[in-house]
Amino acid sequence: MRRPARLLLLVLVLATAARAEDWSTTKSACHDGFRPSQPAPGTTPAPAQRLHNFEECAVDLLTLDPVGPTVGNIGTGSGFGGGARVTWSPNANQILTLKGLYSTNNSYVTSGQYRFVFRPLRPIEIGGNKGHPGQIDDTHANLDFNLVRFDLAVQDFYGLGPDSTLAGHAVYRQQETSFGVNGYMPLPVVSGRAGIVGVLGELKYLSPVTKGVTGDAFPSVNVAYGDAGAPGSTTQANFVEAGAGLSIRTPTTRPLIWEQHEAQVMYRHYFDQGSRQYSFDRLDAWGDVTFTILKQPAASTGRWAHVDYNRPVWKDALCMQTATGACEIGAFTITGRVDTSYTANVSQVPFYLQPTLGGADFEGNDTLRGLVDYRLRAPNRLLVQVDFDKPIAQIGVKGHPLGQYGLYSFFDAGNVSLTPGTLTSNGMRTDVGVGFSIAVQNKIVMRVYIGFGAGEGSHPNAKMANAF
Amino acid sequence: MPAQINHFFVLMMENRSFDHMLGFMKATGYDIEGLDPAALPYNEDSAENKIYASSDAQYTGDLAADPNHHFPDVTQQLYGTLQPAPGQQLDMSGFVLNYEVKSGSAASGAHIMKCFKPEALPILTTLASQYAVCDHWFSSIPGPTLPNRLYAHCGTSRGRLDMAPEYYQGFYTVYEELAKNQVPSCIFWSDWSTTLTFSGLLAHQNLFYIDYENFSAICKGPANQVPAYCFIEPRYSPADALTGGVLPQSDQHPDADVRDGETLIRNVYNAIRQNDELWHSSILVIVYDEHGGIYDHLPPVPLPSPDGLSSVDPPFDFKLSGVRVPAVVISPYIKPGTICKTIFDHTSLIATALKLFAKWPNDALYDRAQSANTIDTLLDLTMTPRDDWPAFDEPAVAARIQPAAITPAPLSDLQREAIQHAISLNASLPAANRVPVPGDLTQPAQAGAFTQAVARAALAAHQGLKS
Repeated sequence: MRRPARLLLLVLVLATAARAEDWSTTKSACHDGFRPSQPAPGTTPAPAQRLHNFEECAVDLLTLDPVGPTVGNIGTGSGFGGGARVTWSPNANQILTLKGLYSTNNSYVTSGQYRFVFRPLRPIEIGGNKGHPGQIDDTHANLDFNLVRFDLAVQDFYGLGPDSTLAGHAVYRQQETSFGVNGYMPLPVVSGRAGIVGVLGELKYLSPVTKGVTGDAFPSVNVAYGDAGAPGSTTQANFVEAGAGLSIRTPTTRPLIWEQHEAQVMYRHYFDQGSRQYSFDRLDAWGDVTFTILKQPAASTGRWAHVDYNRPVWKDALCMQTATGACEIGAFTITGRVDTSYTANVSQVPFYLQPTLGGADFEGNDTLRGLVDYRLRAPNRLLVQVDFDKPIAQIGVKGHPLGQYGLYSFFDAGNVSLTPGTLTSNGMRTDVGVGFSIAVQNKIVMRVYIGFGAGEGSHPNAKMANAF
Repeated sequence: MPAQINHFFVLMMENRSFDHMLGFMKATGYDIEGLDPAALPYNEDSAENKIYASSDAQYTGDLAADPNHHFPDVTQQLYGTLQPAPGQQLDMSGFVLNYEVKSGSAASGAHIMKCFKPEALPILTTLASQYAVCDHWFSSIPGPTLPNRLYAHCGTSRGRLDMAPEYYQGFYTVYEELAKNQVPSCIFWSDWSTTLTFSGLLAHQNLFYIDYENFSAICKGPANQVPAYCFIEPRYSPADALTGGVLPQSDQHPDADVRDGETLIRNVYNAIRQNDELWHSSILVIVYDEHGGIYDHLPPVPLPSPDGLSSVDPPFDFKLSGVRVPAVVISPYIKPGTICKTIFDHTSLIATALKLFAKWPNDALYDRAQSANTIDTLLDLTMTPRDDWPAFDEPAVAARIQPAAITPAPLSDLQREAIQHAISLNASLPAANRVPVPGDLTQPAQAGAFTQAVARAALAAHQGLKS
């Protein structure tokens, strides 16, 4: 076992011992899973009850306070990891979170965050009319102090720019230590019915390291490409990153029920602490808008719209009936993203800080799903996606929490370029695909899809979201 | 022609006692069963220091260690000891002792007696004083969240007192009973619902659950597309917003910031109030699931067992309520300053829903619900619906509308009913426990004193029977 994993295990054991009371509760829940307790009087024991006990055991373990195990994606291509989590909160407005994850392919991420939460400068009210008060958006400001260390054992690289090929496949190992502060403050003055506008800021010191990979079928980036083809692959700089931005999103109390949107624009300066040859600026913007398509119930003069509790499953698969009497046909989501990077004449953007297209990007966001992960990489990126999600059935296995099975289809179009001026819609790569998703409590926790049409075959993929 | 109620909304918050939230609203001319600053109740700590109820509660930070509220702990809170003697009176004397152990010091143990100044909670106290406050609403059992919320959904916990997660099979809910009568109902949820283990609801998730984010917009739409019975869940845990910021915990469970729950209450009220058609056919109840281990001075009351099932370990027959919780009833058919002293528990919610929208009387949700007092009795459906809109500013900013400004009124219909109820209950007690019926019962304060005395006598009689 590697040193970080040993350290995590030690933290887990010590902190668990310190809070034996919580552990005792969890142990009881898990005990019931393996050896079911007597059913409640008047109820019938059922195998599903035991299944449910296992679920509760898992949830208890994953939410154990102040320390417990955690699971999640470590990073694209780095697998699904397990580890430990510690949380401590002196009051409702401050929380310390320590987390460590380790995956089977020898990648890990450890992180610490101390968060301060503040109420907005003044309440943001939306949706009022005729002098009547509306709803108060309850989003709070936050200021986070972060410390992160990760080591991703094998990352893929195919060359820079739009003309790279699969034949150029190389690999690298990426490590990074960073610490800094970031914050968000909603702006009451400019927020309102159209959305909640907020300012974002961040200041971070990051020390990235890339290395070659031994024993892999593909050559290492520093050998195959060197600094000429992959800037920063032989020597890495330390950076101070300073950024500021604006965000807008649909209020938490929506004035429009069936439409939601969010968008963010950030400007960041990466300051190379050494030779400055890797200093650069980046402007990135993204946004999405979702339209849910509803079929309204027939006009009724009764006390309530008719709700059919005996509706056939196939009818719900076509149009999912809701408690209001309306039914949901599906939802369109349109997403756009632009990243542009700017350098001085003698500067370059290091390859490991360049955005990618293909599969999912470094942060786990879907990009061009008809290509493999990280297939295209360049300092500048353009991406447009259209998804149509259709709920087909509620999760019907008894004992599972609220959720839905869904089908979705998608269209992606994207491009990368070596300079901002050449980032256009000309020559965009496109793909289409279909997928299947499982949503629990309004979050997609698993999606399986196949994308094709991008000229490089079809690409099945499965992604898990961190459920807890 | 009397108005018709088509919509019944319930917002159930978490873990605060009546005295803690509303007790200091008691004032001249506003005679709720609250805290009298001239005669404050107290508990003793382990060093026998008297710790008085005080009006200096902070929005967050007082109760960093979650106060105990499982059955054995509540037993200590009610009797002052973990093992009360047979027939021992409920004196509400063990809150400080219990929290002293939990919090680790006598100083922090005293925090359990802290209550809010009315002006610290402008939303809740304004709604309470502008509509109806129920000062005899008790949680259903002297225990924690899950069994208490079970009573709100199912009318029973089937002999369970614990928080174990097998609340899963065999429970029949008010939502299913309403559906059987072709009445739509739903649970508006933010991040979690304790009903997510009910197989009957999970079989029709799309028909029984709606994301709370849609609540205001649905209320703004056609009134007949709003389900008849709507149970609203607060946000139980904070969450990150994708574009920045934190969505706060709004359930007011200690030690969450109480102001965030105030905002939720304001939003729920305004969402309903914004649509006159909906408002004119609605009742909104704001109630808390249980006291959360926080002090209240009024002892629990006897209530019927819902189904005759008892808990063996710990032994309990489900014939005693839990600790009193805050409850505010809002409707355009309620006069400002209404004080309701009728005894309610959470089964009153489902009884009211069934009475308003389905078959009544109705034994589908067990005996306690069938015999529970219903909330519709607070309404005067013949009055012109109130279209005033109480002005309240944000939590911790606005001053509450002073209850002293409310004109003292003669006995309301509700108070008359309460007196009749008390007289009836009094007559059913053993002779030794009966309270003399006063010759003059024309003032609200007299009515309150009498009904309270009967309640105490009934409780004492109940304890005697238990022993």
